[in-house]
Parts: sequence; C-alpha cells; structure tokens
Amino acid sequence: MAVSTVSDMAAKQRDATAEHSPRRVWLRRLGPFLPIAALAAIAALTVDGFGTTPNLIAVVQASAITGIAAIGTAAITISGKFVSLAIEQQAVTAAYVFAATVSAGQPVLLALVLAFAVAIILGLVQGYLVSRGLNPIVTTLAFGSALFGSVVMLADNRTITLSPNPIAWLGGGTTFGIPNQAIIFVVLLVLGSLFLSRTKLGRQMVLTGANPKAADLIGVPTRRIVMIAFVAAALTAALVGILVVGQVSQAKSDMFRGLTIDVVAAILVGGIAIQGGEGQLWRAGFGAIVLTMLGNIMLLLGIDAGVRDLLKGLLAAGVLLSMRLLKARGS
Amino acid sequence: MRNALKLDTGFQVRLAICVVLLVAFSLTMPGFASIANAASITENMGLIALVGTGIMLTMVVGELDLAVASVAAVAAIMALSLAETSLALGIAAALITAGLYGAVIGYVIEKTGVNSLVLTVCMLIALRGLALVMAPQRPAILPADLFWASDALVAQFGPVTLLGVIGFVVVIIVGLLMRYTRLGLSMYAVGGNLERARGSGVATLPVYMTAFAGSAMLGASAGILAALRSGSASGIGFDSFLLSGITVAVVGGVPLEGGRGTILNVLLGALIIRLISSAVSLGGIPGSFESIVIGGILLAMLLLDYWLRRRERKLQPARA
Repeated sequence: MAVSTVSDMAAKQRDATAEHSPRRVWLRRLGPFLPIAALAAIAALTVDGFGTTPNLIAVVQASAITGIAAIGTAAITISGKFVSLAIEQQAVTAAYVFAATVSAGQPVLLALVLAFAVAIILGLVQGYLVSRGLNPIVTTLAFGSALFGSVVMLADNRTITLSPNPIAWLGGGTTFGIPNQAIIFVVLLVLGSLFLSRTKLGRQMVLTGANPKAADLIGVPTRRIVMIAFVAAALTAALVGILVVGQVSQAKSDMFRGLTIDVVAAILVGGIAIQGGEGQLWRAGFGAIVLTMLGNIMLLLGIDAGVRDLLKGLLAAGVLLSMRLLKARGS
Repeated sequence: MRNALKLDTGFQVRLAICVVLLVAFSLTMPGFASIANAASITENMGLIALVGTGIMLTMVVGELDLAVASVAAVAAIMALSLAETSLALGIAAALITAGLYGAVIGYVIEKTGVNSLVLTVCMLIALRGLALVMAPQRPAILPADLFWASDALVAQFGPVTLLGVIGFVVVIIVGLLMRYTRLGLSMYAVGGNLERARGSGVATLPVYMTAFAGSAMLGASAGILAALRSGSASGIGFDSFLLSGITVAVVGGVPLEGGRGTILNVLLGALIIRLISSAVSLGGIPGSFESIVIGGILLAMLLLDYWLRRRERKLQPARA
C-alpha cells in the first residue's frame, strides 16, 4: 500500500462525499448497526420481560461497568494504538488499593486519591512505552500479567471485605431511580465526546490516530497524546474497580475476570475504526449497551454463557469486517 | 551450517544465557540439576515451543495470532470428546478443523486487509465461547481406557519425556520446512517487505493461509498434548498459552514487524523461559510470581529490542 499524503487523503475523502448521495453516507455510517437495532426491536416485541422498565434499567446498569472502562480504552483506540489488554488487571489493582487503604482505617478520600494516583502512574508507564513505538497489544499483555501477579502476591491472594462499606451509595445506589453507575457512565460519555470534538487536545488526539506522521509534522505532541490516552484508560479502569468495590463491598483477585474481553468487544461492536482517527466516542458506549442487551436477551431466553461469548466474538468480527469492506469499497 | 551459526550472534547470546542460567540454578538450587527436573523442563519446553512456533509463523509474515489459546482449548475438548469413539480420529479431526479454521482466517486477512490482531481478538472471544459450549458444566475427560496415552506421554527417557520429544520433532520439522521450501522462504519475503514480495511475484494468499493454519494447528497440537497429559480439558484451562507463546517467540528473537526469526532461537527462547519458571517453582515462590516473571521477561525483551533499534538508527547516519 503506497503511503498517501494528507492532501491525497483529503482529496479522496472529498471525492467520496461528492460521489455518494447523503443517503449513501448515512447508510455507510450506520449500516453495521442496522441488524443490531432490528434485533433489539424484535426482542422487545417477542422476548417476555425484555421491554419492561426494571429490566431496561438493569441493562443500563450492567452495561455501565463495561461502558465506563470502554470510554477510557476508546481513547487508546482513537489515538491509533488499538486496545489495551491490561484493563481487568488495572481494575483489580485499583480495587485492592482502595479496599486495603479503607480497611486500614484511612479516610475514603485518601483511598480514592491513592487508587487514582496508582492508576495514573500505571497509565504513564504503559503510555510511555507504547508512545516510543512498542506494540500496544503485546506491551499491555505483558504489563497486565506482571501487574496482576504483583498485586495478587502483595495482597497474598486474600479477599478484602469492607464492612461498613463507605461508598456503597456510589457503587450500588440510585438517584431519582437511576443507578448511580449509569449516571457516571452517561456523564463520562458526554464529557469525553465534548473533549474530543471541542478541545484542541481532543482534536489532536483524533488527528494522531488518523495520521501520526502528518500530526507529528504539524507539531502535534503525538507521544504526549498517546500517554494521555493510556492515562485515561487507566483512570476509567480504576474508576470501575472502585465502583464495583462499592457495589459488592469486597476486593478479590478474580472479581473482573472477562472485563478486558467485554471492553474490547464493546469497542469493536460499537464500530470505532480500529485503525484510529475517529472521534465518535459514543460508539464505545453504544457497543457496551448492545452487548449487554444481547447478553440480557439470551439470558432471558435461557441461552448459556458459552453461546453468549461465541456470538459476542462473531458479532465483533462481523462488524469489524463489514466496516473494513464498506471502507474499502467507499474509497 | 557452521557458517550460519557464526554469523548469528543472537543464537550465541541465547545459548550463553541458557548456559549461565543452567549453571547458576544448578549450583544454587538443590534439586534443580536432577534428571527428573530436566525431564520436566524439556517436557514443558516442548509444549510452549509448539505454541511459540505457531506464534512465530504469524509474526514472520508480519502479523500476530492472538487466538491460539482459544484454538488450543477447542481442539483439546474436541479431541477428548471424540476419543470415546477413537483417539486417533479425535486428534485428527481436531487438527484438521484447526487447520481449516486457520486457513480461513488467513484468507480473510489477505483478502480484506483487516488487522490480524483485531480479527484474532474477535476469534479469541468467539472460540472461548465455543469451548464453553462444547464442555459446558465440567471439563471434557479422557475415557478411562485411554489412560495409557497419558502415561505414554510422560514416560521418561533420561532427561526427556515422549511429550517433549514430540514437541521438539514437530517444531524442528516446521523449522526445516520454513527454511528449505519455497513457501517457507516466501513467508520471510512477505514479512520483510510485502510490496516488494508481491512485486517479485510471490503469491501472498497461500503465505497468509499457511501462516495462520500453521499457527492454529501448532496451538491445537499443544492443547491436545496438554489435555492428554492431564486427562481433561476445560474452556479456560489454556489461557496462559497466549502470553507464554508470544514470550517464547519474542525471547526467541522474532521481531514483531516480521521478516525474520529462526527455529533454533525460538527453541532457546523456550528453554530460557522454562529454566526460569522451573527455578521459580522450585524456590517455593507462590504461583502468581510466575506471571510476574513471564510478563517481566516479555516487557524486558520489548524494551531491549526498542533500545537496540534506537541505537542502530543512531549509528546508521554515521555509517553512510
């Protein structure tokens, strides 16, 4: 594939938009989601108990955990570094740091500060390595393994139980009937979207993912932006860790098994261009909701967990390939 | 061959590391320098060398297969489930299925240009689900009348077991095929420079299909061997294959950008990792320490590679 310049790409994009009618562009953007939306509509009509308000609230709450982590991880994707495979390990780390500090009799605020400070350091280290050109997937895989081993060893693989739990209201509570986790999810999604579209740094992040060489040439601090993306991912993973401690009042080593996979699947199913350079953060949240919704439907239908994972993976592959093919045909 | 070894400083460095580790652990750890421990080291080395060689195949063509652990789980469960009818049939069916699956993945990657990391992550999720579907409540179990197969695999011949020997033989055959067949050499050409390889008439489709089919079949064979050894296979029992496979390939000097990599170095990479793991477990350090060690080795190797490349870049203008 020949290296195309920025102006080439811009010209190609202009041609593409001029050639296709607005309807075609709309179809191209939303095309991959149509089958999913259709599925949701059919489920609401045919699956008993799916369309009820309590069930829908439960779906939103269940998707909040995956969704919050996906928002931060999407920053990595958007800046062109694929995904992190160390999400659940970072969430476990934050859960242990928070729970250990609180159970040592320290104030909640200090526990929060410590958990987030550790997350920032972890994010900076990974971001530094990846921004120097190390492969993000392999680096985070290795980092996650070393981190998880360290945390489990330091914690002696114990379960830390918090009673009383000072943040139960945050993890498990509701405000006006809406789960607090869901409110945090939506607020973060809005803030993140505004950051990407309205701030200079956010737009620089999108450009870094779209064309790192061009971004470098016009003076965008691409390395710093990659580090910021990894810090954002680490912070949301830590937030998830703390929220779940609030919900279940304990920290243990296997509490987030499968989170990394759920987050990666959410990002892929949401259809954020995995090559980077797309600023549509809502897709990450959308992916998390869709996957949770599908899981919920299958649970109501009595389909077992293996089938759910199987379909999750196939759906992610389907969206990935259809986006790839539509893009190839469009340009 | 002697000439090739002379040129390959990477091989000598790895051999030296192996010798140093072997001597150091043997002198400091009671029980390390025993025939039984040697058999355990070579047996597990053969197993992770199989996975690492599969990863190497995809890395040489400039891609990476992240689904090996899930493929291993599905293949192992399939082989054990069919073993009630016939063990040979089960193993053959599992290997052929893995090969066909890999060929399809390679085909899709070549035809669509989709990123292999991302597509294989999807497959990692999907096949893990499939493994859970195939063995829903409890692991697949080897029928009691086939326990002789487990015993045969761990039968010890001096410092090696049959399982280790199978691993070595398969890995070395793959290495010879890569070095002395047209298709094998094409893999290096594609990984070195895809455009130039295409321009000089290399058919890239068979290269991709072979790399991913090979990776899936090697991962599957490691999964089947491990399952026969332990007599059972569960959906999540093979998760460590991915990290150890990548670590073996990276410690074995296969660059992530592709185009290079030799089997002898990968074997030494597997040996280095098993020597360290064995010392860790003999030292009575808790199991979680092993994931620190493997993750740490991989991180250290990535950093070393980065540092060496940066030094090379700095030196290059001076040379020109």
